[in-house]
Amino acid sequence: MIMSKLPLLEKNAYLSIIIKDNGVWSHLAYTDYNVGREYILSDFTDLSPLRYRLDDEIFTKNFWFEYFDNLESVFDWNLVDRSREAVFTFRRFKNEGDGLTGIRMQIDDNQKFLEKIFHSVRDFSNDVSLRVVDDQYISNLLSSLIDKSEYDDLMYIDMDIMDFSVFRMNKVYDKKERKEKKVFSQAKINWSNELDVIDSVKDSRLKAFLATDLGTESIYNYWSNFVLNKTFFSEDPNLMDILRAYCTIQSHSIFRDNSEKLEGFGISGKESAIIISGYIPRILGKSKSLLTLIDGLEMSGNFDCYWDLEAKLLSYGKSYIDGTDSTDIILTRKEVFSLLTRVIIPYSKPVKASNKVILSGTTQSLSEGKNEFYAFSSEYSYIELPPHEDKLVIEGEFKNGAYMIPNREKFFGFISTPDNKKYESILVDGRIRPIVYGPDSYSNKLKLQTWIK
Amino acid sequence: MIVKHKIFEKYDNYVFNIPYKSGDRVLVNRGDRINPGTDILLKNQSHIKHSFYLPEQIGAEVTKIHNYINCIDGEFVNKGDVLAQKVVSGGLNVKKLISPEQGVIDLSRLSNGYIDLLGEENEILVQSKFNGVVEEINPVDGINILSSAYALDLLTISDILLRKGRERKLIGEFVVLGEGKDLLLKAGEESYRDKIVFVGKYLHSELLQDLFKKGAAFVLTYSMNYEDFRKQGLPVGVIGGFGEMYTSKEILKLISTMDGKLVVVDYDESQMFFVTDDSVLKTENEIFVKNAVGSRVISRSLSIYGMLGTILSMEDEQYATVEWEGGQRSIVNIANVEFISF
Repeated sequence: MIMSKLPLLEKNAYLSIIIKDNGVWSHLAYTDYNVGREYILSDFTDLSPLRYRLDDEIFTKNFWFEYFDNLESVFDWNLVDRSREAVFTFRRFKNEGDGLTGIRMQIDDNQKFLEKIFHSVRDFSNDVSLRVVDDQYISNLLSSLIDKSEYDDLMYIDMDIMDFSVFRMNKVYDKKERKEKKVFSQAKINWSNELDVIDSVKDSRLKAFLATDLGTESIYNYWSNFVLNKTFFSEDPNLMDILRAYCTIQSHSIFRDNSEKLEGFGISGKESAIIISGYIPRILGKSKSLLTLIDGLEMSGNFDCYWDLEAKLLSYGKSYIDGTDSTDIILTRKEVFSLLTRVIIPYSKPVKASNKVILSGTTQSLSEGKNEFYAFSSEYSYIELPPHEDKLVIEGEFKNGAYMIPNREKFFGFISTPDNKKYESILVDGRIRPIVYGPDSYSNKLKLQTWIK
Repeated sequence: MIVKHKIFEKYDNYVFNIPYKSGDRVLVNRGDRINPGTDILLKNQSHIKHSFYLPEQIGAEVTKIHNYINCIDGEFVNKGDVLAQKVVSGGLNVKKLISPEQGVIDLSRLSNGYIDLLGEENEILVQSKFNGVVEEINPVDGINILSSAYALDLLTISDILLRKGRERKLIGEFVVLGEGKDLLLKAGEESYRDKIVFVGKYLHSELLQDLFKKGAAFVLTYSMNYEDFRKQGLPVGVIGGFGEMYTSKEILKLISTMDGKLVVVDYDESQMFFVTDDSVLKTENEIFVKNAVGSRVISRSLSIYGMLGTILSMEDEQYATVEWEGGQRSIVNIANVEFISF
């Protein structure tokens, strides 16, 4: 008797599209577990040049025709069924590079002209399954992730110019009911228009975080051009500094108003992780994005950090969680999750001489052998780990009175596993607490030069 | 994928309204075809004898001006009458605005900070400068006309958050000052009443005051200082950005070709619609960049912000060699440029 193949082993191609922060992320996932093939093709399209045309349903409907025509050539994948000229339909999946088993489009509830875009897609094709990414969606995603992963405390931070959101799912022991419960909390800042965002640099608190020498007039002009004409790359130190200060004040405002929702993260002894997404980390970079969050949210302890900068987790997180029960595509952790940064913020006692080693560590793998790394007191050290295809063992010992919070451990160790949980960097924040900015931009400039070397 | 920003976009079926007041005479009928030179409307309008900018005259904030007004809209005033007054120095002094001659008060621009003193009434004939069809005429919407138009995106408008309802559309004649390429502090003409004025590459606050004093309805500029933009409280549209920046001669020239055309400022779309079917402009229809080489780009790098260029070659996926408007070449990250089309 010949048994039919399990759906798990059948070839599959699925297209998931996320519209968020005026950008379209398309992820085409392909799996063929018979031959061990699994990958995601990704594309990003910034919608900002369309400006207010997005509120025109007819324009947007026509936009989708051209979008999918172009996506075909970008992915080198036949997507559009051109046999029916009157109706737009997608090709049924046949093989790798030809057709899809399904298409899902998720639109963030903060997206400008959400309703117009929603209706334009509905008019455009019946093949597209439409969803809205709202707080409930994030809550469900985090709740399922916490069940499936090794973490007990998960935070999802979305950093955008107009919207800044923090979501947390935390496992807590309920003494009354004598059982573990998952607690969801959220905090956010939403700006209604760009002019208010630009004017926010007037805030004296923001000036306390700035390190640029620019005068007020230039700060306004630089910042307004950046906010109104979005770019995805900048090497200008002044602009990056304004953005860093802006993000720090955003996260600090969230912390100040919602400290009870954020307390205990990273220092409770639970396995904790943050997932960072949004436009800002893409332009500010990983190290500085973490600096703004650590200072703004007053974080300490140790936790993992995932970078969902391409919105893959948002797209396929549910498919990964559902595993073999998934109705769209079965994907493994390696494809859906990004490389990690291990964040370690130890207690380090004030020392007179700076540059004292507070952490001495090694990385070791079969192919790379043994390498050493160090972190110094009063410094913010973002350490890139060597590229590795084998397991990499990372171990470290705290020195000169430094130790891990909360259990005062002097040693730590973890393993980077390329097929499952691959670390790309370690961040050791050895700055003495509390972190003090100010009183002026020149002092901040000196402090940042001391912290980040 | 990369979406192109269309500097000008053509609309073949653009519908707009020309408002009219009671006493004005509509010279067209529903269904009429309009050609350049067609008489549309005979307006009764008084000429402005004097314009007073109250923040300057009595030191009042634009948003609080109505607290200091001593006259009503349409009131006949004599020389020496007090039009507005504000108590200052803790009640020790009073700043007064006194009418310099007889005239009729017009408070229609009070929200912008102005009191106008009107003189005798004249008849003004509004003639068409475009082709179109009259779709509807009614006292509420005015004369609805279907025509072709070119839309120009505005980066932002100063009073975009303040205007409500019908105020969110402005219509007027487009006037270009000094071919748009000179930096000016004063406007040349005696009156810019109800005109939409393009000042060119940079708007100085002194020129802005002068234009509104002379009756301008809206001022368009390529760039200006952000603090001035937020402080001045008058309707200003910005195309390029803030601060002193490079301004493309080609873009200025294109905008200047619209001199004398009828234009609609649409606050909801953040666009200006030039009512014309002029074929000088040939707009592209493609939304996406198919081939980066040969594409027109505007720099978003702060050192050459706003400079227009053409991509000569791609060095790799991320970097391109660009020849800029002045002839110089440089290698730039394509994430730091905006792809545009005309």
